[in-house]
Amino acid sequence: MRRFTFVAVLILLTPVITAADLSDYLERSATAEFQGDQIVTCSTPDGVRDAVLQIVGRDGALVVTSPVGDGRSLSAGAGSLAVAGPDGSVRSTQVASATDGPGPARYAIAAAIPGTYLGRIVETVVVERDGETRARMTFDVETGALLRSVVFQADERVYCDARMVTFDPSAPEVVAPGSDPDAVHVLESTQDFDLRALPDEVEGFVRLDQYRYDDSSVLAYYSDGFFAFTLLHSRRPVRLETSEALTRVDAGGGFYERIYGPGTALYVWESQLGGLAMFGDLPPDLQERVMAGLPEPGQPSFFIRWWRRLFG
Amino acid sequence: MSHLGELLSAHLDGELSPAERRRVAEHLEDCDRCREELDELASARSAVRSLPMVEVPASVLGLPDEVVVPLPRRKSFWAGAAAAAAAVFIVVASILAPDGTALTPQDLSDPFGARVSLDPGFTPTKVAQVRVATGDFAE
Repeated sequence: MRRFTFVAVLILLTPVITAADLSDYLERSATAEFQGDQIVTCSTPDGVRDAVLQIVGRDGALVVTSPVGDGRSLSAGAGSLAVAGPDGSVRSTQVASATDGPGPARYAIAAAIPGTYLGRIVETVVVERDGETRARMTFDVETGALLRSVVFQADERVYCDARMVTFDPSAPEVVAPGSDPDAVHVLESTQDFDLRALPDEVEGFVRLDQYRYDDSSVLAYYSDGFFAFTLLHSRRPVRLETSEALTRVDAGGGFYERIYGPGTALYVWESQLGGLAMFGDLPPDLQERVMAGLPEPGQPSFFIRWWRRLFG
Repeated sequence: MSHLGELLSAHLDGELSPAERRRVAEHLEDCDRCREELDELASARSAVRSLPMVEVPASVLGLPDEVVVPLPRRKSFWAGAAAAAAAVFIVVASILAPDGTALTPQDLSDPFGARVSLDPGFTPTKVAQVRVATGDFAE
């Protein structure tokens, strides 16, 4: 009897090696209906970044507001993102077309551990990329909603912890921001631009799409199936207008300007091929590896800078 | 066969002896090249002689230290004007041209949020992070 009890406890405590694919969890999570409050805390190279958010998932879209914000709300889903300001104005971005991504095949579930969280029955999956633990994600078994997501750096230090602190599986009716036709930025796919600054693949991130951003710029989208980033290449110099303090990072023959948010990083720099800007949700160590595979910072000659400034 | 060379010029100037004139005449009968050279010399000579004679100003002859060589003023003026116009264009264009493309964090986070919503890795956390990246919800 004692031996039977020991075996039963061992089975319960041992992580269950699951046959489910990570994409199964993520696809179910993307359509989950719920509401809750989330706290995001991230340890970035530039210090701690955190936020409190209210999230509602309904009809395949997510609406995000903030209890401490100014009344703005954001709605995202199906290739569209709309931001409603407190004055009722709406700014939207729509993706006209998109290539199917590589999927999270590069990522494997090392373990799926049953448990409870916020009084809910959950399953926590440990996600690995090339043998490195990259995330621990806790899913609500009933709804499929993602209740907690911890992202790691390669040395297993925690980068970001986004956790629901309240959760309700009944999603309220929400009014997603409407759409002002005059304020919609449609991202049209293009092949017309010089793509030398945008590699096909970097550190396992594949360039899936490129969109015309404006007359002198192209925006490319990269994904490794889990993390992702956009890379803007402009024939003109680029500069960032923000009230936030930029961190200057010297590298190569020039420098990057950087802003870390809770879970995102934004880089802007000048290269021999033109101005570049990158925005993504990569952990810092992956971010550094990707940056090493992109055109390095450097100041073109005075004449080239002058020419680009005038004519792009 | 050697050609006539300097003898042609002397022949035109009437400076040859009778024997030399005879030798030149015999040579010209058989040598196309020397005949052509003689024709060219004669044409050049008549062209020069047809130019009008100009009197040299007395001041040039009498006072060499006061000789003034006028500059080609018209040509210099236009070259200078063109250079000045180019300089003005460069300065004005540099002042008026925008100092590159000005971006806000939203210019990048919004397209990212829209595109990532089509990915299999799309989660509420990503959208939340996009929202926070705009600075609106930062603590």
